[in-house]
Amino acid sequence: MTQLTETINHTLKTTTIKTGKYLTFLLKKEEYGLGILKVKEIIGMIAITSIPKTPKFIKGVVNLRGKVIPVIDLRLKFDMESIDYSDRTCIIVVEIDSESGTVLIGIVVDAVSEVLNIKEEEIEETPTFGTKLDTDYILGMAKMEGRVKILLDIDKVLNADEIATLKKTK
Amino acid sequence: MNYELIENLIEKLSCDFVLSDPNEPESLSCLLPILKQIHGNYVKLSLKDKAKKILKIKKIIEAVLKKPSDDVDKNMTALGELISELVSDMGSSNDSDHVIDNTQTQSEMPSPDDSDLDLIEDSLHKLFILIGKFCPGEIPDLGAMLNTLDELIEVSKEKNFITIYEVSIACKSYVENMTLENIENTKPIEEGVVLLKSILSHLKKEEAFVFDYSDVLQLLTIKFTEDPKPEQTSPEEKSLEPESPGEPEKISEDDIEILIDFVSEAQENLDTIEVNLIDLEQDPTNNDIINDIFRPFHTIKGVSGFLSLTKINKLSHTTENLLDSARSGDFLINDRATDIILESVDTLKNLINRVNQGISTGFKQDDSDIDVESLRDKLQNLQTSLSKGEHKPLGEILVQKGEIDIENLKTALKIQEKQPEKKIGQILVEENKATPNKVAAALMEQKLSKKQVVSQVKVSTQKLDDLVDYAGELVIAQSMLRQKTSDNPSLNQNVAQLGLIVTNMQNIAMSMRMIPIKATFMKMIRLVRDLSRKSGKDISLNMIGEDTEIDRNVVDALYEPMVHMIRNSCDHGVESKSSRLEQGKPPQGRIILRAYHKGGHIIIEIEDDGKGLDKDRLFEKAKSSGLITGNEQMTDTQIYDLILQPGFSTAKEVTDVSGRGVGMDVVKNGIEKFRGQLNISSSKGIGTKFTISFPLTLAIIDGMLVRVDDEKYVIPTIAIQKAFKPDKKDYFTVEGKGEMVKDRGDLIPVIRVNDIYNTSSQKKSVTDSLVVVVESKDEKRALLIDELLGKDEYVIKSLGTNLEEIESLAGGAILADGQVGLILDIHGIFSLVSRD
Repeated sequence: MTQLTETINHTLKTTTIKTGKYLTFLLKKEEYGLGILKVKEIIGMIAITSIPKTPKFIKGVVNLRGKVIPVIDLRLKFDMESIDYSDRTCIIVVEIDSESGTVLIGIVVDAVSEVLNIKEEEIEETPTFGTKLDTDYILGMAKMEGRVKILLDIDKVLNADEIATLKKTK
Repeated sequence: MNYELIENLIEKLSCDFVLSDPNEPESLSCLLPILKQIHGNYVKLSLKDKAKKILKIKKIIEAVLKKPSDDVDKNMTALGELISELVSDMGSSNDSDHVIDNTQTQSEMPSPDDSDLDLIEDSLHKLFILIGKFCPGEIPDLGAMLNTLDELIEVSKEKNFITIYEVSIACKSYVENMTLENIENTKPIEEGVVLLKSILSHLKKEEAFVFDYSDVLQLLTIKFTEDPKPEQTSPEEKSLEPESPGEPEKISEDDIEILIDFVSEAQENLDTIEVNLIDLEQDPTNNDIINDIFRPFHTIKGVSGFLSLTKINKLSHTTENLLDSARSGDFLINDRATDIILESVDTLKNLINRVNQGISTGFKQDDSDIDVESLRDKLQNLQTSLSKGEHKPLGEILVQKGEIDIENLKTALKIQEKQPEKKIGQILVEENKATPNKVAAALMEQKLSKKQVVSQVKVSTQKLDDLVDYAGELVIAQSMLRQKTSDNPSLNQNVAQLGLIVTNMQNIAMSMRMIPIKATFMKMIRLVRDLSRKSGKDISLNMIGEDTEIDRNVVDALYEPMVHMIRNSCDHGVESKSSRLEQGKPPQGRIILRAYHKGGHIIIEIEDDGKGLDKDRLFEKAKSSGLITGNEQMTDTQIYDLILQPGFSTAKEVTDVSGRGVGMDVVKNGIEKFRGQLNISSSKGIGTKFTISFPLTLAIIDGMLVRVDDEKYVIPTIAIQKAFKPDKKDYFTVEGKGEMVKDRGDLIPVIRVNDIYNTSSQKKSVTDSLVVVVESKDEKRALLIDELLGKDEYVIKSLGTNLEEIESLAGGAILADGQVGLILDIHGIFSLVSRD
């Protein structure tokens, strides 16, 4: 009985997470999606103050109306080659859950495309790519209009190893 | 209401009686709890006769139970008669319902007639003496007690002093029981009399007696219901002390909110109690302070009762009783009382911590391992013993303080015997034993020390922090505006005005976070007090500048290090009495706490007049433990700083107070975490002084904005010694790598900021750049920079949870152009460089 309810709860949870609106953006011609509820705002490129002694993908910090928030370059995070920022380059400010409550983090992406309503049935399980690619932070793949969008679990993208690495830089 | 209840109970009683088997007298025992309830209700309604009747029934039943063989039939008939009488009474008195209700609703606070009160007081006094000289087994004494109690009951009934009536009835029944059962324990009755006394004093002051005295009544009646079969405890008693259930109980959402409030308030209250208690110890007669201690206990008791936190409620209640007697002048709070109240505070803190844990886990925490009963017994014993007159009289305290000598006191006491209305101080002055000037000065001091009650509002610190943040933002916005309007004179004036307002606002916002350091210092008094008792040393703690205000967050940062250092001073610093005397020092050791502001910093000094640090021993110790090679040329400060190294302890033996070698390094880290500094100065045989300096506020920093290539950094002004452009002849290198500049004979190592931060690899010539000489902990380095951009105040911002702990950065600051600048942590840079 309890097992049954647990399973139901679990399915419910995962469906509610997966079905919904996603903000899609481009990274090196690949399309990515990000749960809209995680997104606080999108800002154009502003001056980023780089922080010494941090991993490369941490671009630095910006002033978001008086708040200092860290900014991460998603290209660098995903080990893609970096490009010069253009006027299409954006910072998506996301709210992620961490041990010490929610924190704001900016992520630099090539361009923001649109907000899509993606249904559960359009989402496919993430295939495994073996050891060369960690798919832990991918929620699933959405097939729409013949294209594939990679849905990210942004909490996992920015949380797990990152906090560990950052603490180590001390 | 009560009346209906009684009716039901009596009905039940008669049914049960009919049902009980005359051949099995044991079955009667089930009537006892019902009887007790009826009795209780009658007492509440002040129906003395009926209550007596119930008692009679009870006694018969008890007799039957005790000796089942004797005249069972006779007793049974007697019981039957009595019970049917009760039932018929019920019917007849139905009409008097209203009358009874009236007596009950009559005010609990009748206008007291002085003569009545005197009468009660006399009776109480008589009773007190009787109890005092009571020898077990002497019936006449008990008779006299009963008579006195009867007097009390009569007067109080007549005058409608319901509480007194109720308690006296309970006392009387207990005494009756003493006679019957040969009980020799007079403690419950003593309790009862103490309670009566305090009720009386309330009546005299025409105050309502609002305290919960049920525990005393319970104590009196527990014996009263104790039947030959002890397992037959009444149901109420069981429900009064709910055993903690095996499984943790879930706390409901609504309760959690109330509990959170309660916990934060109670913790605050307990802190004030501690501080006040220590004040009280200096001035035990001051009723205001007693009141200040009493009130928080009262609040805690009230709320905990409401939240059914039984243990907290009981303990605070007992403590409150003790204080209440002290408040009404029954006795003075002496060291023993202070000790025990402090113990009670500590226990309460533990209990409240459990509640707090419960809130965070969502389940009630088991607190059965925290024992309150023994503490309560101690409190109660103390209260009774103090009320009996074991208190330390005022005169003795005066003698202790050295104001008068014992002979003077004796004469004064003799005079007081003759003129009891006079106060001892008055007599002393009249007899020219103490000069009026001295007394007046003391009185003035007393008045000054009285805290001014300013109306206050509680605000959550989160809101305050937000306000400070926004005020900081406003400053930034304002300075951006100023830069843009600098070429427009008319606007300029308005902006200047705005600037003024903004600065004022920010100052107020900042000051709202400031609290006097006194509370922290007071905690140290407690610590020194405990430690000096433990170690048998006599140590006094003096405070200077305790009204100095510091940032709330700094207070938190300060507490742990201070505790550690005070411990060290007490344990290692101040010598034992005998060795102090040998060295010609006064036997009493002295620790001075000093707080003052100095140039944007708050300085806290902890100074003792103990044996001081032994340079040679420190050096040797460091050498033997491998911290240094022994060949170094070290300054005194550097040697003293050795004690801040991890694992360094010169204590020959480890005490439970300190000396395990952990500590001073923790202290140092704790202080530096909040941008503080710790300096040590000492002279052997004379004493040691620890100086802690913290920035006045942790939110704003005075900084110099500098440019290195394209990066902008803020260097805290406090660290900057000077900035200059070095000449070629002032520049030296060691092996072509180690760079140094000479400044007036000092050789200062150069740090290239772009090098350590890898922002660019170009090697600029030193002579083309500027150097900023920075200092931290007596070490100097020259930072190579390109340009000085200006000095300003910067609001320190965290770089975010993930980036908080980067060494060599103290945080970020929003610059006038809206960009984020990094604030350098000079000390962090030094250690970064020395490691690379």
